[in-house]
Amino acid sequence: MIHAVLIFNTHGKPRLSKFFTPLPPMVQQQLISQIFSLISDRSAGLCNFLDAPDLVFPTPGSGSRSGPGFGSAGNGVKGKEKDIIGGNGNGSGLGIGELGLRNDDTRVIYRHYATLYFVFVVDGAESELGILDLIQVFVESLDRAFENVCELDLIFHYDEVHHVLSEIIQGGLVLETNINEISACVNAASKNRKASSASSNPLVPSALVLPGSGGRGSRGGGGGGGRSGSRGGSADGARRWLAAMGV
Amino acid sequence: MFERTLQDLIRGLRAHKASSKAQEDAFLAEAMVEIRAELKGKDMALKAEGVLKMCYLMMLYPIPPPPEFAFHVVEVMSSPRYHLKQIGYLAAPMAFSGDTEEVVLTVNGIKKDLMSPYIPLPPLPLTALPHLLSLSPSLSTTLHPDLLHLLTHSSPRIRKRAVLCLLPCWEAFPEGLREGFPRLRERLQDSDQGVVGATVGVVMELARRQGGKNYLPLAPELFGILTGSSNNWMLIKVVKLFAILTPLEPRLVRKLLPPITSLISSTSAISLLYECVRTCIVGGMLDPDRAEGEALARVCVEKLGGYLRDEGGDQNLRYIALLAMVKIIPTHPAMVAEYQEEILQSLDDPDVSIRMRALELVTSMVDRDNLQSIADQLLSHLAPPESNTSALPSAVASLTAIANQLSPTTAKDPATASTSVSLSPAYRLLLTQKLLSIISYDTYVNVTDFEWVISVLIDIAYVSNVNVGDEIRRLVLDVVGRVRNVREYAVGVLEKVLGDEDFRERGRDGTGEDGLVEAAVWVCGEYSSYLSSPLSAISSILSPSLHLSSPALISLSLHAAAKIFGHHAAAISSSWSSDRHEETKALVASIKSGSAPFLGSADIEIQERAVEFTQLFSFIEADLNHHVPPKKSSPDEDIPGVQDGFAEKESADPPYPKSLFLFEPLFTSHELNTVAYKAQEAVRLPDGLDLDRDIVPGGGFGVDGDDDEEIESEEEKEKEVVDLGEGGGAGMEELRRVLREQQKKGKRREGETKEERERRRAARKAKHKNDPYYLYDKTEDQDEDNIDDIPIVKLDDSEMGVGADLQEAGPSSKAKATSTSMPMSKAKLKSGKSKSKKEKAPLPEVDRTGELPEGADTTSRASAIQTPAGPSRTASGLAAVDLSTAPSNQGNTSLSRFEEYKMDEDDDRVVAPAAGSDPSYADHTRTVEADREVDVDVPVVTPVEVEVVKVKRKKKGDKKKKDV
Repeated sequence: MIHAVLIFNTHGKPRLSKFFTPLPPMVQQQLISQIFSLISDRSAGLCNFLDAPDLVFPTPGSGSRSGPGFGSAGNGVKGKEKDIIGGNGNGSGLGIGELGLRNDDTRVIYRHYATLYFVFVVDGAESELGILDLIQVFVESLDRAFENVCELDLIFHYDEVHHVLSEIIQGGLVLETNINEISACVNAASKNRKASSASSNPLVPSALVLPGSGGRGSRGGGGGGGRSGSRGGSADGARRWLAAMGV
Repeated sequence: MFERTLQDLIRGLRAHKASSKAQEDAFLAEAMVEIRAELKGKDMALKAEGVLKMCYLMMLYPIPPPPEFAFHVVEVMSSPRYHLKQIGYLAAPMAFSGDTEEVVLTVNGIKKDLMSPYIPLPPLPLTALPHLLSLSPSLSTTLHPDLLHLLTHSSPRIRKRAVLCLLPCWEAFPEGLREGFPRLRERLQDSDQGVVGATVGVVMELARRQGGKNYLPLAPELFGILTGSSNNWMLIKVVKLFAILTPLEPRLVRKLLPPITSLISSTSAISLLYECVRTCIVGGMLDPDRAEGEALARVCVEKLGGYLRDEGGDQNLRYIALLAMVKIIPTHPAMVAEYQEEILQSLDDPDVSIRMRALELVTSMVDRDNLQSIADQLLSHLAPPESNTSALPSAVASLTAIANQLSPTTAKDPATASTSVSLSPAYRLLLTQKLLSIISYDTYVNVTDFEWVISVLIDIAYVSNVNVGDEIRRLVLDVVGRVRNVREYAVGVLEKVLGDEDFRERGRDGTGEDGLVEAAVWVCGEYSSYLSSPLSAISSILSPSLHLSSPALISLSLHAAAKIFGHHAAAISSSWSSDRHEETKALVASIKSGSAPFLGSADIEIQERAVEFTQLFSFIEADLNHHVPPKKSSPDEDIPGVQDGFAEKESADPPYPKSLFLFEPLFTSHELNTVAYKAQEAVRLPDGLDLDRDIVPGGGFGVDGDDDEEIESEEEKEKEVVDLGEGGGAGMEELRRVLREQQKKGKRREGETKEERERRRAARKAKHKNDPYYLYDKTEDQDEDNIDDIPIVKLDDSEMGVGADLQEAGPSSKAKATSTSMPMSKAKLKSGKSKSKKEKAPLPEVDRTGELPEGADTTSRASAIQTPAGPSRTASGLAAVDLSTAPSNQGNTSLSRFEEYKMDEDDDRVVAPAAGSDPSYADHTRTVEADREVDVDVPVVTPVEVEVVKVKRKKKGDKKKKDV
């Protein structure tokens, strides 16, 4: 399954973090910064799999997980525990990695797009190359939802990013891989949201309420309501500003 | 009133990011106050906005949410507005943790949303459910029927989400799997491809957690997907799933081979191609017994090798090719060996990820022929880049020259420049550990040249710069202990190490170099007969900077110096002359002065050795001073035997001082051998030894309670007598205390007659005679017992030698213990297989098994070793749910297990007792048990007949589970 989906920029600022394996917040942040520091050292031509001797995906605390079902992979068919990489973690009496310090089951797979790193932490049930494709699907879905997605979109609409992700992955398992189906779901959900919020607040013109609803132009122009105007001027203005920042 | 929206908050954060940390913190604190107010307020829209903002901050900063945050999230979740509800469900996974009790508050709301006829609504709770279900088993139990109900929902979007929720639900509520399994199976033939994909994903996870045998019956459906679907993502999942299933059902392989081979040859998707290859490898399809296995293996290896050779191509493919080759090594090492060149090149790759995979692969492909070249390659990675070499101590160069295995081409490889860039300490450590482990693998089964091993170990210690000192010391001692022939060489090289003061200095900060130094000191001491120059060895062991070293090294050094001197002194006695006399005198003096700083050492081990050796050396010194050396040496004279040297004191006066033989017998009484693995266990229990019996009857506790009373009564008596008044300040109190004590003493003396005292003492002595906790003070009597009773024994010279021997036995046996225990831990008995391997080529003589005590029971030893080392893990939770059959079949083959597969609603609930699992789960188990008492014999699943898998229907009654 997929343990975590992370997006952070080239400065290590998280733009999205979604952990499907429950971890304490502090551990999540440590993991993000550790993965970032390892990834940012890697130059462009290298492979998309992050392997480092000191990278350890922490085991979730015993309290954060209901006891019985998790992690024990019975009768040695694949003697793997899904959530332990660190050999020093608890209960790692696995027969396979006799020399290794870590279980080679969990992988960190990432892709670099412009100013952003998209990172998936997955276990052996997922195909490495398949996840690379899935990251591409995710990014294309975001692109459709935001129409030419850039970092600022993710910053100011992090809830929307979560919604898009929830159409692709649910509970660590892949829900849908077809981009058309994904963006249809995303659009349907945002239409519902728009309708709902419009009905609750008749003063706000519905076309201006949410991103992804009516295209950039209409959003940029409008200024009314609590949520609009977030992009400051027009969408192109934001992009120019971003370019001026050098990102 | 203007509330800050999420966008405002983000903008504010960005505005303050540039400014100082304090300002940012102030802004954050202000925002938190606002959020708290919004959360507490009545306006649901504001509350939702507050929740959203809080979640955003939690993602960015390690801020704990307000204590009642989870409750507010529940409120937002229960809002009737779709867009607010969505925020609530979005925040729920972040807000709830294992100890959040609010989860129970959500049950009814979630239930209602799940069952809502309004199509957009059910996906909201379904999105958040996986997290919530894993938190609360009770939630899983409650919602399980609803999830099963949703499996047949008219909208495929809801169906696939419901399918995915089943996994966490069953994890928390394993019994649900029995009921839900047929429903899950139906979804494999869903009309919507998305639902099928999701179902395959769930089955995959279940099979990974439980082992595949519950899911073998799904093979027909899965096979249908494999042949029918064109969705690569789904095909990948199915192919991966078959990798779990095929090892359990060999007949599947025959069925699967045609479609998988056709996929391999036809697909354009590399990811799918790779997974097919991987499944062939992992799924046991390359079994050499199978006719087509060899050909398929050839195809797989060639595909992988093609990826590997693809220079400048896709790095990702090289990575996964290395990954898959590790799996193929155990069955087809020869085929992988054809790509050894490429694999070794990958070790030089600038990408650490690829290098780590290559390292993994390389370590598993080591055999007797390539061990040296691979080890040298790894070593060259550890070696510092060329530019720095000149700055290093020359000893490195000289030692590498000694090793001489390090071919200059690899050292000057241009790749080393690139490799050194990313050599993080962690990677170096990993590399070093791998290197050590391939050398020592299976008690040096791949090693043909042990001199090379020694030199490599020394090289590692010099260049690795990581803390592997303990490991290196263990290996050096182990090799030297096991391989007799290498000792002379080892002593020669390690002598040089001892002389390298720079190297010793490096080790003083605890960076691991000490390990080699300790090993060198010990080896040079123990095998001092091979030393080229004992005198310089002693002087470098007792170097002036020794006091800076670790205590362990100091005590080892003192001991080794004594050992070397012992051997040296015995050796020079044959050629005794006045020159020798002077030289030895100087040597003794220098050793004494060398150990002088440690006479007052705080470390007891060091101090004891230093004092003992100094005393012994003083004796030798005195003897040397009295000795008058002969004018010329008399080499013809026989050297008397060691014991004789002292016994024939009167008869013949040898031309050398007899004290020269003081030291040697202390260390050479018996040879140190490798001790066999489990030798301790093989020691027989002496007859009549009963460890359970009390040594002292009554458990050693005295039966008397009157001892204390006696003291108490005495104290009472004294209290009555002594009355010194009260008050007067602290000074007076002190004075009174002193007075009382004096009075007490005096009183005791006066009050008792001598007879009374005698009687009391005798009574007490009798009482304590059997009490092991009472240390009887013998000196108590001495003032009264007459001194004549003390036996006086005359000590003469020869006895003094023996006495010294005894005295020395402690430390020397200790040294032996440390040295032997290290090899012992490594020693391993070889099975017949490796023995036959050993016979193939002439190998250096290695003591692989080690010493066993006499009369050791070899059979029990063998059986003890055969017990698997891996801890057998008790299945619990989901893994314990066995859908297929009764426990009486557990010992059978997978084949029979498979054939007896049944799905019985009640009957086959086989839940193995889960050891140490969640107590709530144990309760479930118990209820299941109760159910089973009234079971009815109803086979439920209609078997599907396919060529590959025959699902037989079987009557069940006789196989009912008995052992829960």
